[in-house]
Amino acid sequence: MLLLSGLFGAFLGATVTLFFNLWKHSRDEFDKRCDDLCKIVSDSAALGVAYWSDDFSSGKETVKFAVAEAHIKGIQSLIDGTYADIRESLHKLALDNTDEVLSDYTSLLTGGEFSEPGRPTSPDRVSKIPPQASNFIIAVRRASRSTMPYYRVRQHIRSNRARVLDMPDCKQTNANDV
Amino acid sequence: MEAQALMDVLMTDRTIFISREFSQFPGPRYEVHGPDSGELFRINILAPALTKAIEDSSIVTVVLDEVAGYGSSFLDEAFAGLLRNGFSYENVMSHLRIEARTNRFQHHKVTALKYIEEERKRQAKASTSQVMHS
Repeated sequence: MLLLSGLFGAFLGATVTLFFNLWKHSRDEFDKRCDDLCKIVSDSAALGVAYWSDDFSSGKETVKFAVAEAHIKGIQSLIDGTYADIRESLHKLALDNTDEVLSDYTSLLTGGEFSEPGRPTSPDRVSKIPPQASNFIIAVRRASRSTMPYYRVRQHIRSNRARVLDMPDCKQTNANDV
Repeated sequence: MEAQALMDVLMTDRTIFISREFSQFPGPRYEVHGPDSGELFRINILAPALTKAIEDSSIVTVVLDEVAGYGSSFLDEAFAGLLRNGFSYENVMSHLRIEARTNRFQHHKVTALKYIEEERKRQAKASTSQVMHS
């Protein structure tokens, strides 16, 4: 009987450990994908700034123009693919926001006069690409955190701790009355 | 909701897969700037299909998936370009459905719809200022 209960306890422990490790493995993999995505977005912002700050209005540097454009298209495809990998694991409530922010980012990166030969520099895009890339990175980090177990419970506890009552201070009011 | 989905399926007479009917490598905005442009897609495939859908009171569905990737300028020219080239916003929204069946292309769908909406606002603003000037 003692042996049997020992075996049962060991089996139970092994099962719990197995499931925990499986979860931890998939969680680590997901976190790694998020890190990859953030790094790629950061790199793409650097490429985007370089591309949109170059002046191609002379129409002479066609090769340089084509190479820069191909790099941006390539990195955008990488963003698409990596984002798709993590998107399926994100919470539905977070998806609208991350899709929207990514859409705004890709509009800046490859919208407007992208791939139009002879285009001048675009100071507007140069100034907007890095902040929008950062916005997307923040949105992805937040969305990834929201997939942690008991995230909403912890969020409620934190917001409760930081809560400030907006009712008038009774003691102060009474003192004023006197 | 299910009945609505069924009605949509029955009403859809044309589904355009960009990857199969146009190109797996969508290109720039205008035809003069390179092959497989958004302009070419709109003129050769999307606009005729949408015209027919309006005539038949049906829906044309464009599936964005299975391509290497989109430049946003392609999406702008292909979809918002419809409004710039004679289609009304109401007709576009009632007879055109943009679909992304995989996670990878969801944000491109958002982008395409956003461009259509922005073009509508731009046209509304332009017509308002025209009225004010006249």
